[in-house]
Parts: sequence; structure tokens; C-alpha cells
Amino acid sequence: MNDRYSDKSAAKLPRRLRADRTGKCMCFLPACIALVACLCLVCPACLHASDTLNFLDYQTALQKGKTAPRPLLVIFTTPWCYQCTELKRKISQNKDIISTLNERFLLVDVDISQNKKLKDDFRIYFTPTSLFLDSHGKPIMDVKGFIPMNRFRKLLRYVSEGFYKTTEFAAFEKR
Amino acid sequence: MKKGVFPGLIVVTLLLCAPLNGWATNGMNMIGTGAVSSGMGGADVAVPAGCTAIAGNPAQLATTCNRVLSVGSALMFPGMEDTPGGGTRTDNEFQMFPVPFIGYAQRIGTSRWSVGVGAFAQGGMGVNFKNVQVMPTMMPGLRDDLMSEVGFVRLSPTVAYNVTDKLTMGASLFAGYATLKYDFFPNTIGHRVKDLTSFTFSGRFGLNYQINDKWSVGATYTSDSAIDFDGGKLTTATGVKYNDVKMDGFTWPQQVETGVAYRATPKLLLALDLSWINWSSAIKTVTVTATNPDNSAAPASLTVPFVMKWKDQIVVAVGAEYELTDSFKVRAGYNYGNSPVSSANLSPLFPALVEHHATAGFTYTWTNWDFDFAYEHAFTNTKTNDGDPNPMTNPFYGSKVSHTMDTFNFMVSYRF
Repeated sequence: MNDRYSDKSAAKLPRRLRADRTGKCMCFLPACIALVACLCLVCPACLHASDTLNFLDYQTALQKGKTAPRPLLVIFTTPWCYQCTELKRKISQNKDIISTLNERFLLVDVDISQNKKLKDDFRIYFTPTSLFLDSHGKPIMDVKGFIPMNRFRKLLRYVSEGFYKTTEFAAFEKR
Repeated sequence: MKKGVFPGLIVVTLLLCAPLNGWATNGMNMIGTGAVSSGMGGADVAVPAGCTAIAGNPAQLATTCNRVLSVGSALMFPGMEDTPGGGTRTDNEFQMFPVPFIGYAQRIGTSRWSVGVGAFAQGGMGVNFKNVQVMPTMMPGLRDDLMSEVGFVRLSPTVAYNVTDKLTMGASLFAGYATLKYDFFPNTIGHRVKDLTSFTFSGRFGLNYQINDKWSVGATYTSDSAIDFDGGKLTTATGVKYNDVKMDGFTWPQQVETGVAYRATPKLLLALDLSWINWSSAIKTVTVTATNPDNSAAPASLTVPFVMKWKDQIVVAVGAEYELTDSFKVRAGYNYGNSPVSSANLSPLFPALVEHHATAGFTYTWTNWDFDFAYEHAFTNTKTNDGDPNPMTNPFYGSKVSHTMDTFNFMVSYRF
């Protein structure tokens, strides 16, 4: 009803008046662009909030975990490991997973060819290994190898919602 | 995984290996081993292959998961027709060739090494024509059989090494076992040969280079395998049995393959392979020599030459893979390889004629399992023997042979 009314009324308006309305709209455009630019400057993450993973280094993640308790997901990789690349590629294709990881986890990527200490500390003998830690750095569980995304989603839910405290993952996965 | 499932699958696969026959379609080679490669028309040199790299580019073994066991088979249904010069058409008897594959691969911890071992049918061929007219222009009314079965299976330990983050090299050692038998008008003017076997060794070297996130290139070289058949028996149409039969001049050819893969979008992978198969050095004149007859009145030795003079083959394969969902991929491919058989020496016993192949397939992933399927259709190709008209040297002069093929591939992989 409203659409019909507005269409007709616009058609009946004198040409000059219509030009004035267009001009007013055009004034808003720079203002909108400026607003978006300011938002991006204040919060650059807004630009990529839904499609970029926020990786931290291990120590920073542990520190953050103390102030804002969230589980850590540490992905141990090597540069030559195809399955590691594939795991990251698949994760980066799924915005829901990126969102979950950024909002509910502290994410750490460890190249064990560079960081031997963490490799030894956590006895990592395979890549990729996805290690879930609680906010105090205590291991919850690890998964070796490439993880299909359906399973990855379940893992994230299992850890972030605390199911690991009461249920084995195998039982949780069958639900 | 339930205990006993995989031992059962292994036993079934080894049983399938028993016949050792396959009807391959790039000459005597399969266009691809495994349902993934086949689904992409055999374009697999620069494509991550996992376990089936044992039969493809060994460098791709580095893309395997921590441990993976794959079991599968192709079921090949050839269709052939033979129309002798001046005669009438005979259709090939119904044949189904299982072409099995079993492989295991794993990466060695966090090192740069991956290893694997597998057994697979490299290829072969076979025909079974019953009651074919025998040189109808010379011997009207005479009919007999033509049958052949060539099988070649390889056991292949394979290693791959990540030289750098982008460059991977791999090598396979092939221990091959081949079998051959044939009937060449065995009840009228020819003979029957059976139980020819041969062990042979060869190798393959491969590399893969990941240029960037989108592009990768690969190449392989496969050495030839001289297959010296022996231990066979020959029976002539007159009933004389020769107990020591060998066959010379039969070689599985050397081969060079190059490939490129391009990830056009995050979900779409395109691949192109170009291969050269050196049949001209491998299959020239195959000579059967029979000695030790059971009848002292028969000639002490019998020599039967089959002049074949195959031509080199250039194979072009293109394939595409699209990820419909996280657990479902679809594939399509096309493969062209010029027939290595020359018209002048065309024989219905060894008619490797098909040239154009269209393929389609899919992979369904469920937890740690992958279920792969592919279908190949080789389009009909027909040739006529236009060689020497002398029937004594070219008994198949004027024969028109047609060849087509349908192949179903399936494979199950378990990652652990």
C-alpha cells in the first residue's frame, strides 16, 4: 500500500522537487562513507570479523585466558604438512567455525619446526595436532590429523560448552 | 573400527587379485588407479592423492593423512566386435574384469617422510570371441575361437619426502607379476597357449611443486618393465603339446607424465595431465617359442611371431573436482589417448583401440571413512586391418574390430 502511494506521489512531483530529494540523499552518502571509515579505524576487526581467524601466540593466549576464561585451541603444524594446510583452508572456508573460534576460543598456531619447546612440552609427534586446553593451560583433549568440518564443529561445541567435563567425546559425537 | 572389518576387506581384495586380468584403456594401462583418479579422467599427477599415490605420482604420498588404508576395485566391462575381411560380425562374449587395489600409507610422525605400500593391477587386456570365421575368403565355413588374457599386477613400496615446504619428491619400486594366455584358432589352424608368467621389476620417480595456494605442478617418470614370459604350455590344433613355452619381446613401457592443478575457487579444483607412453619400444614383434613337444614326430621347436609394432601414445587428461558440501565431492573428467595399435597390424586378439573416455565420480566422507565411486565410459573406436594382404603373414587382413568399455570404480578408505 505504502509502496504504491509513494511511487505515485513521486511520479506526480515536479522535476525540480525530485532533484532536490536526490540531492539530499546524495548528501547522506559521504556521511555514511565517513561513518564506516571511522568504524573501521576504531575497530579494524569489524572489516574481517567473520572471515579471519585471530591467532595469538601461546603465552599471550594463556595470559588472556586468565582474564577472560576461554579454552585454548592450539594447532601444531609444520610448513610442509599438506594436511595442516588443508585443515586451515577448510576452516577458513566456514564462517560459522571462524566466528566460533574467534568468540569462544583463544586460538594458537604453533609451527613445531620453529617452536621445539612446545613440541616437547606437549609431546607432539604428529601434525596437524589440534590440542584443546582449558583456560589454565590444562589439556582437555587432542585430535591428530585432518578433521572433517562436521566433526570439527562438534569438537568446538563439545569443548566450548563444557561437555568434556561429563561426557566422552565418542559418546557426545553419537548424539 | 570394528575388529575384523579390514582383514575381511583385505582377504576379499586379494581374492579379487587372483585373476590378475584387466582391460585397460590407455593402451594396456589403466587411465587412473582408484576412484578418485578415475573420476578426474586420470588427471592426477599434480592432485593430492593420499594412498593411491602408490599407483600414481609417488610424491603425492606426502599429502596422505596420518595413516590410511584403502581398498577398492574397478569392474571393467569391455565390448568388442570382430568382422573378418569378407566375413560376418562376431560379438565378444560377456566379460567382467575386476581390477583391484589395496594400499596403506602413513606419514612418519612430524618428519618430512611418508611411506606406503600397495598392490594394484597396472592393466592388461583380454578378448573372448567364440566361433569366429577363420579367414573366410580362403576357408569359407571354417570357424574357431579367439581368446586372450593379459594381466599385470604390481606390488609397490613407496616413499615421499618433503624437500622444502613446496617441493616434494617420491619414488616407488614396482615388483610386477604378469600372466598371459591366448587361443589363436586352437581347433583349426592355430594353437592354444596357457600358463605364461613372469616376474619383473621397475620403478617410478615423481615430484610435485606447490607454486602457490592455487597452482601446483607435478611430473613422473616410470621405467619400462621387460616381461619375459616363460613356463607356459602350447597345444597345436593337431594335438601336439609343447611343454616349454616362452614369449619374448613383451615389455611394459616407460612413461613420462606431467600435470598441473589449479584451485580455481576454494571449492573447485581443476587438473590437466599430459603423458607420453613409449609403446613403440615396448611392443614390436612378440615371439612365442615352444620346445619340448610330447610327440617325437613333431618339430622340435615352434616359433610364432606376432608382428604388432605399436605406436607411442600421447595421453591428455583433464579433470575437475567440486566440493558440494564438507562431506561430498563430485568429479568429472575426460581422457584422450591415441590408440597405439597400427591398422596394418591390427589383431582382434590385442585390440587396444579406445581413445576417448568420459568419467564422473564422487567421494562421500563419513567420520574417518571415505567412500569413492567413479564411472568411466570409453567411446567406441573401430579400425580395419589394412596391412599386408598375404594371409600367411597377416591372417587378420581386412578384419574390422570395434572396441568400447564401461568401468565402475569403487574404493573405501579408512583414516586413523
